[in-house]
Amino acid sequence: MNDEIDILEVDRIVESIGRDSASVIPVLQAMQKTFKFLPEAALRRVCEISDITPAQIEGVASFFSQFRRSPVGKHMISVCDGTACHVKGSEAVYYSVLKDLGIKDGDTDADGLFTVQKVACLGCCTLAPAVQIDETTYGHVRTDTVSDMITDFIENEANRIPRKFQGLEDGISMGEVRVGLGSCCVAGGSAKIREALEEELESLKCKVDIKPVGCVGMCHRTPLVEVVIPGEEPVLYAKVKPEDIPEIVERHFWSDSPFIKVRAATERWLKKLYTDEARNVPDRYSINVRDEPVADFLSRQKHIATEHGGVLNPSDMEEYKRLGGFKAIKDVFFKNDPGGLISTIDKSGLRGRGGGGFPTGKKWDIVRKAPGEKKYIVANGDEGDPGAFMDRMIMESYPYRVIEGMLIASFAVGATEGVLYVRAEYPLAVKRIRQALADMEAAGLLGDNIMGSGHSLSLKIFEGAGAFVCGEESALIASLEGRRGMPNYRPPFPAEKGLNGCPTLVNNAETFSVLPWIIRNGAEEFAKLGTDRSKGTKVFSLAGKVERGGLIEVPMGITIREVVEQIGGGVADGRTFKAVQIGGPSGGCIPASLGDTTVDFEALSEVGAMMGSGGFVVLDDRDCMVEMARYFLSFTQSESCGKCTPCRVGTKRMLEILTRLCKGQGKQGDIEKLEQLAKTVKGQSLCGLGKTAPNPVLTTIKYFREEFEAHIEGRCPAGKCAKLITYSITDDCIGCAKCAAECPVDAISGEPYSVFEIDPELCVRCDNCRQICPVDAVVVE
Amino acid sequence: MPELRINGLPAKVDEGATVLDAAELVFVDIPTLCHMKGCEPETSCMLCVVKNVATGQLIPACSAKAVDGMEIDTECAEVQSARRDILNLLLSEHVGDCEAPCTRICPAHLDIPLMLRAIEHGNLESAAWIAKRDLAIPATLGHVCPAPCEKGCRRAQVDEAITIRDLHREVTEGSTEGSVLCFNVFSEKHHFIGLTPKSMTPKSKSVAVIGSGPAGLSCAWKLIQLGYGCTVFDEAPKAGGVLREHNSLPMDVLDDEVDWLAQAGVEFSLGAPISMHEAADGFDGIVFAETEFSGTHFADAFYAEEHKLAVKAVANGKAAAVAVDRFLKGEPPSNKEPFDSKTGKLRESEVQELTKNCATVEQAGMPAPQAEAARCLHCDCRKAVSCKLRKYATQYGANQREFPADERGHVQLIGHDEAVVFEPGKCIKCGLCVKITKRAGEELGVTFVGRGYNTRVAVPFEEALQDGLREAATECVEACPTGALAFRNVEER
Repeated sequence: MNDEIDILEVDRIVESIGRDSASVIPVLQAMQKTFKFLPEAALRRVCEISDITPAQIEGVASFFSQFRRSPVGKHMISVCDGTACHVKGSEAVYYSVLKDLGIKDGDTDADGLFTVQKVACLGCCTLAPAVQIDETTYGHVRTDTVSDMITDFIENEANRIPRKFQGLEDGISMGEVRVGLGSCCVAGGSAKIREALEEELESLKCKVDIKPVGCVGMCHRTPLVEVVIPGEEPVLYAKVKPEDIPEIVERHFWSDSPFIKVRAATERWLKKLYTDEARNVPDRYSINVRDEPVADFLSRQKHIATEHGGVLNPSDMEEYKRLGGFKAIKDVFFKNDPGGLISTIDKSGLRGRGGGGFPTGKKWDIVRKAPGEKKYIVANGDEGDPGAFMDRMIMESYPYRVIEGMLIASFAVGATEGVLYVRAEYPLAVKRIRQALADMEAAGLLGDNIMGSGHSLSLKIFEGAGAFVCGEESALIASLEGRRGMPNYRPPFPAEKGLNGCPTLVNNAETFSVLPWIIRNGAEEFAKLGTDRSKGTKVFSLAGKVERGGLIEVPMGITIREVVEQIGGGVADGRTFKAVQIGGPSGGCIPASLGDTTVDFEALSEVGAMMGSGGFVVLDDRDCMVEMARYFLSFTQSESCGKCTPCRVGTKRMLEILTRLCKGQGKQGDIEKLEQLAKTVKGQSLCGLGKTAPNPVLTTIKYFREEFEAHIEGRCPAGKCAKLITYSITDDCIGCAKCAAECPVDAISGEPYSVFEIDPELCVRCDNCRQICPVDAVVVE
Repeated sequence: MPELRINGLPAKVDEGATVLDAAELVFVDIPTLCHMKGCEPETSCMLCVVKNVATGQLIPACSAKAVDGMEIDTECAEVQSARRDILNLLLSEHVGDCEAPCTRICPAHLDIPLMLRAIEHGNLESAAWIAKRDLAIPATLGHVCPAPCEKGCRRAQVDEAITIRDLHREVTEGSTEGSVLCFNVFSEKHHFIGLTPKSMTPKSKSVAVIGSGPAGLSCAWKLIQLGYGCTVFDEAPKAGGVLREHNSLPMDVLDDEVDWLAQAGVEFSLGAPISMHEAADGFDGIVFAETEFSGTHFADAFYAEEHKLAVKAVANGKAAAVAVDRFLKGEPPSNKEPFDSKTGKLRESEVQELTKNCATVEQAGMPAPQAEAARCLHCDCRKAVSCKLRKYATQYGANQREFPADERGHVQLIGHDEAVVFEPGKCIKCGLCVKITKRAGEELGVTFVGRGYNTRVAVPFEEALQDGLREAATECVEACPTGALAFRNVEER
């Protein structure tokens, strides 16, 4: 395609963002938004009119996975390949999408309508497998619903114009309806719920407040709607559909005008009659906080980073303030000095929540003592673990809290400028943080001489461009400076020599978000929670084969089994608990037999995993551990920046061996070779990504060596590796034909009420038949 | 000023100095690939790892700052094995041959590509010298050798193998009298083959070679090249041994080459029974160039087997000469062959890619030997001598098959018809050229493109290589630690 573009558009972008070389990533992002890809002519133009060089722009544009150099279809289909989605069959979904659109080569269909891509993680782990088409997220997608999904998008979403709610100004509010607007809830359809609510309330002329709230944590039951009427017990509805809304509204609210009420009810009654619509009463979704499962889900948790979850409107600064917000900064500014503040944090025992677990107070002290006029502060929200979404939730639901935490830290270390580095795949987090920054600036809580304290801090947002390695602080800083996200050898640490060569404090978004609580409640209160060396709480994204997934915040020292069984409600579908994967691509698989391992920095390291950023993916007996090792390594391998030899080449060689094993082409000595390579990659890589990349492989070999050996012999004990298994139907088959209907490739045939057969040549091992079979007659060998 | 110990040696360095700087100060050699003085360390190759004794960690010497009280071990087994692993990983993705297969196959390791390129450019004299240097009797071999080299020639994948044997015969046959190879005109200009009148001036030591077959002649000639006096003994009246029995060999060719060797300084003692005592007394070393080594000779004697394959016998003769040389210098025997990266059989597309190395247009108008030599694909490495990767691979005993890749990368050449040629398959992503072009203020320069395993070095916007290297080409070629960036027509050998 010829790059016929509007050069003036490029000029405008550069003009508005900046001509310095550090502006390259935002400039590229803006251009991609405008042109949907990066035309070469645009890149050349940027070099002509700015300090950005061709070598720089080419290097950066090709480094980050967000940037595309070729034109794309009108709509972008992103199939999530995060851990939770992966274990629930995202690979098959991806191929179904390609098949449905008739894409054989490349990634765009013939009409140029859709471009399909795999993305590392959409952060909707509880809706796995998830697919995003433009702004619309579809959850629990199966191979057989792909076609419906695309049709639905074309019919309902592609040309949708968002409706504007007029609102009812008059009258006294009858109550409040809280709608979860975290990404999981939005992906679960809460935006539609909100529209339906608005429509219904408007038509009934009910004056009811609709209040968007942040993540409740119960992501497994999204979308959530809570009805709060003064003087009544709040009622929480889970898995609400838009069509349930009228019933919910009718149940709780009524119109002042009986006529309207009757009319609405009659209309609906008539509609039902004529459309033969069998409606489910929403009762079955209604859950009460005192219900046992909900109580279990919540009772073991302790909300510090996620304080006021499900109550707080993420974008309401006044409400945040009413609930104790910004109290901590007043304490800090007027009752504290930086040294005292650092010793408070030291006393609390807080350690970095990004993965490494470095003592926060100690890091602050280094930054504070580092010589330099100018110091920076960076909130690392470039969450890259493909099975984790806590940073997203925290930034989406508690933006003011994260920023308040940054204010506290900046005061301690003497930083006056800072950046919130937010992963590009999290548009909602970007939007909320941006709103929060604007609110706080307007309120004088950011800027010069904040609250007359003499402390100044200006913050801005930087959107990551899609590189897991940028979670590593030196790579993060490289990208902030407009370079490829490649780490440097440390020391010097960013704490001494960071952004623009100045001392820079880089803390995880979660770390910042617990600071106000510590200040308000005291270091001792925080230190009371947790274990000897790991204090406080940790937020995890609980996902995978667990009954109740979601965002959880638990005290350190809770056992793995307690998380899986009490909070998570055990393994779903009556399967057996096999292992948990903690810490994502840097962590490891801990077998069920070590379920009593406590969740803290040391205990997890001892068993070969690590806290990581907080992914907690539960695996059952149908998950193949060799395949899991391959999955994680394929992630780190594709995310390796390519700088140092051990990581660039070593992970590739490891992946090749693992891929062979999963294809049944393993050979004697492969396990030993993997261990040898793992040792080199772990011991000699430049940064944390490489140093920890072999962990998922080493732990699976350590705890599930027999599965690796079985693969060498050509067997997959879990029945997962497609090349090693065949599906067949036993005589238990009742001939219900459900499997044949589910089969995406028509590999199953048979007469009704007789035993069906699977053609192994046609079979793509999607597992649909086994899942649908009501009598377990589909077996895998 | 931090004081630290490198392998126990105390080193005092300036603040901010690296462990590598400190090691240099005490003359401890640490291998590096991505490092260049005056450039910020890249810390990418990780070959320079050393052990921090206190922590037990392996750290990159090029970037780790020297800290007071630090104790560094650069030679322990752990460091050695870590460096070997790094080299093995780099070699697992290395696409290219250090030596062309023809040279590798030739038992005497005639530098065939170099000879062919000399012929192609009309430098017949140079070509002849190369053949002489490596084969001792190239014209003779031109008649009797079964030419195993030609079996390995990759040109055969395009059409037919290059007639290597005919070429080394043609350039050397009849070249004794008044020709370019006459020793009367032997001068400094023969540097190009590593020989000069000075280097060939006999030292005080001399060696007796018993037997004048191909092994004996080749051994003698190699000894002369190494600067020894040498006398060849044979009971037969004429030198040549088994070669004299060859039907297809015109004896005047052999005679000419023996004469030439005599001119070069080899003494011949022929037609008389060999007195062992004479041989033992008058010489510093003795080599038996025979079909079988009786073992009854002397304890310090060397042996060069007269193989029925003449070129193999030539190889044996050379090896014996090298062994004698080491012995006389008091060096331990060495069997360390230089490391050879091997690509294996080329894909069709790769052969086509290499064919672009051939000057097909000019070929038509060239005289026969030149046109023939011009068919060479130049599949040997342009930097086989200066390549640091090869050097360290040899030093650390690297094994290219230790971590075999599922599929090897593609042989690819960028910059056809340009002065500098870039072979991505040989690039180790050290980033030196990226830094150098940036520092030189190149308008385009080169940059890393892509990420991870697929990272490559390229000129932005897929522009021509020469446009990326307008200012800094020489510096980049010199800095490049492998054969990835090289001048197209500069010979290192």
